[in-house]
Amino acid sequence: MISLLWQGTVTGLLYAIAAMGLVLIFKSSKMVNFAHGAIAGLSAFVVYVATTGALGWPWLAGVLLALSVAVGVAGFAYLAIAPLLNEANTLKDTATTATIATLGFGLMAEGVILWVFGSNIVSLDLPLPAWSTSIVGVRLTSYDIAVLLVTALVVAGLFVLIDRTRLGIAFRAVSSRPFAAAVCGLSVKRVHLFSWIASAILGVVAALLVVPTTFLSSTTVATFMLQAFAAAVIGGFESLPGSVVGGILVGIASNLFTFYVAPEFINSFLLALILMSLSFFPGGILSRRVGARV
Amino acid sequence: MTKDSSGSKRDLTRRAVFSGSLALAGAAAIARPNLSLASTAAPGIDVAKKTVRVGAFAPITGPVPFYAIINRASDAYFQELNASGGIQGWKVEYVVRDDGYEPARSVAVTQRLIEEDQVFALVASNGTAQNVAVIPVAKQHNLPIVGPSGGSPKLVAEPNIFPLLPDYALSAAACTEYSVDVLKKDKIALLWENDELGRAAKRGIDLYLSSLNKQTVVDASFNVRSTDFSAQVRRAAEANAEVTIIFGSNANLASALRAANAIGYKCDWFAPFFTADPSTYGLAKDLLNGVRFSSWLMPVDADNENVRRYREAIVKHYPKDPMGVFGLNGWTQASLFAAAFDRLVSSGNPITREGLIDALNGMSNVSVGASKNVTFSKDDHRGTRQETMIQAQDGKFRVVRDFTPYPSVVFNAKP
Repeated sequence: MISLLWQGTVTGLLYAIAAMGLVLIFKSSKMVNFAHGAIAGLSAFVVYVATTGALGWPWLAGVLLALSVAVGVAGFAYLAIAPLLNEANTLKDTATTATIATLGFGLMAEGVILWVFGSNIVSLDLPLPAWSTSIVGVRLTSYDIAVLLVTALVVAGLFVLIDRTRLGIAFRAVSSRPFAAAVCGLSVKRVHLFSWIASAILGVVAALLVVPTTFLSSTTVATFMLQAFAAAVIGGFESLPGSVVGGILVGIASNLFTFYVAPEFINSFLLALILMSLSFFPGGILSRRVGARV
Repeated sequence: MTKDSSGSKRDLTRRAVFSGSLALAGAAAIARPNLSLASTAAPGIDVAKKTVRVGAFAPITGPVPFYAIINRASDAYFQELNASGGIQGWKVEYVVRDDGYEPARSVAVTQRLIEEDQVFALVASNGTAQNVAVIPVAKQHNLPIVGPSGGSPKLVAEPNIFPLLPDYALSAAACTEYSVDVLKKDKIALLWENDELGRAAKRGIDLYLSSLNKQTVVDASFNVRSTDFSAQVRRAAEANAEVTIIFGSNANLASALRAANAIGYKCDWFAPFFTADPSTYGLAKDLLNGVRFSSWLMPVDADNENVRRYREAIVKHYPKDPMGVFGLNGWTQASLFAAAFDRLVSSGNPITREGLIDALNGMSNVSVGASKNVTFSKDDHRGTRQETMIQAQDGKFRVVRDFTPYPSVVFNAKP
């Protein structure tokens, strides 16, 4: 049981990182980015191609290239979708239209992966030593430690960025009062672009941590996003700490469900979890007051 | 019955996928056919030029384009065969058309192969559901389907279909029998893909174990696209399973091995023949070492003349294709046609579809390609009746037990 809880927590942290990417964009522009997984998957393939075969780059160089590609694609996607979005978010319909546009963009990104990299399933590992130990019956590996450290760094980095920088203050202003922020002269578009870029970077980090456990194919990372979506919903979709808690809860609940019930019904279970969360915690699990959410 | 050759060749040049047909187009341009003789021959047979045209549908596009590796290997076989003088002087022309892995399109493509290309037989037609879908049209034209790349009892039951791919129930039973009899381990966990493949494997294992009054200690299914096997593997570990048999893709196997490694679970692993492929090493790396595979094909690394010829031909004709089980499968299916056609020509009987079916029905304990002891009879079209046991060792696949008959309790069971 302890082992199941531990593995669920480690997996949940991966969901949390991916969920934070979804939340960043939703907070700033009220749109759900359904292309998040596909862009992250595309970047993981860039790392694979750069570090294997004829190129054979060092892993870090491959990651830097992938981050550049992810930032470029995310920036392009935002600029393509931006005209659909009412900057001050006074019209909710515009966010819905933009959300649908992200769905199309995600499908296109998946198509590009298939076209460029093919349908093969490949292996992409982290450059970690094969180390493991056992503590009170729980097996702890170098991979687990890497996930814990990276998640801690990501959360701390986001905290500093959002809480202690001018960009972060602008992000919070646009997130809470977009119209007032625009009237005060803040560039809503720049804040949106920042959230897309930060989200893309989080997506790459999540993809690189996920792929060693699942292999890499044209759909691997996009499929993983269902769990991230559930984590974001449980967290309230507007709360970064909420997505971390949501991610861990989803990880543990999924692990227990697949072990004790049936692994084949995990997607149905996640959808049920999303529905229950929307019914019982519409403002997110960390919300102090229960209120309606769009 | 035979079409104007130059016209059909132009069409093939434009549309056919593989170069074997193109090479023959050149040869045909030099030697003009004797149309009076050809016109009396069976479809796909040109007596004057001594050519036999066979065909296949393959997923050149669609969700599984890599399955077409099978047909490219068949084409490589025919190219090599033609270059070395053919079958008693007869050259084989191989026409492959794309069906996108859609059974409905397979039917249309087969219709076209019969009516437009006038093929004599289908060879290594690709996909289980696709081959099942074309049964009515093939039956209507008495079209022999030789070595379809698909495993279904429905194919075995047809008088004009001669499959080599065995029922997965038999392969799974062979793995179980090896565990119990050779390894002396009977605490067996079964992880099975929840589709026709996995269900067949489960049937074979359950049948074999029930004959010993035993049962699996874990019976867990999974979706074919699953890459997270932590729950299933943990169940096997908690049940102290000594052996885990997994029937799924190579990605499923590699994922399960990783999940086992993550929790430090060790046992003997068995997997289906098609995962005994270098690509599985690419995914699982050293974790694959020790895994066993019950296989109707010799391993791709085998020190065998036929397998060596396959390895050389693929490098020569399709250097971009990976060398592995898929290709060896296609090579072997094409070898089956060549062996049957050779028997037909030797018999002196008219070269007709009926004659080919008779020749196939008379094959007994014949080695074709990477397969051994292939046998067909009029009442039993289970071409493969024995399998070898392969083990992954240090990056290679080695035979650890020679071809052995399937456990009779499963082989003789009613489907």
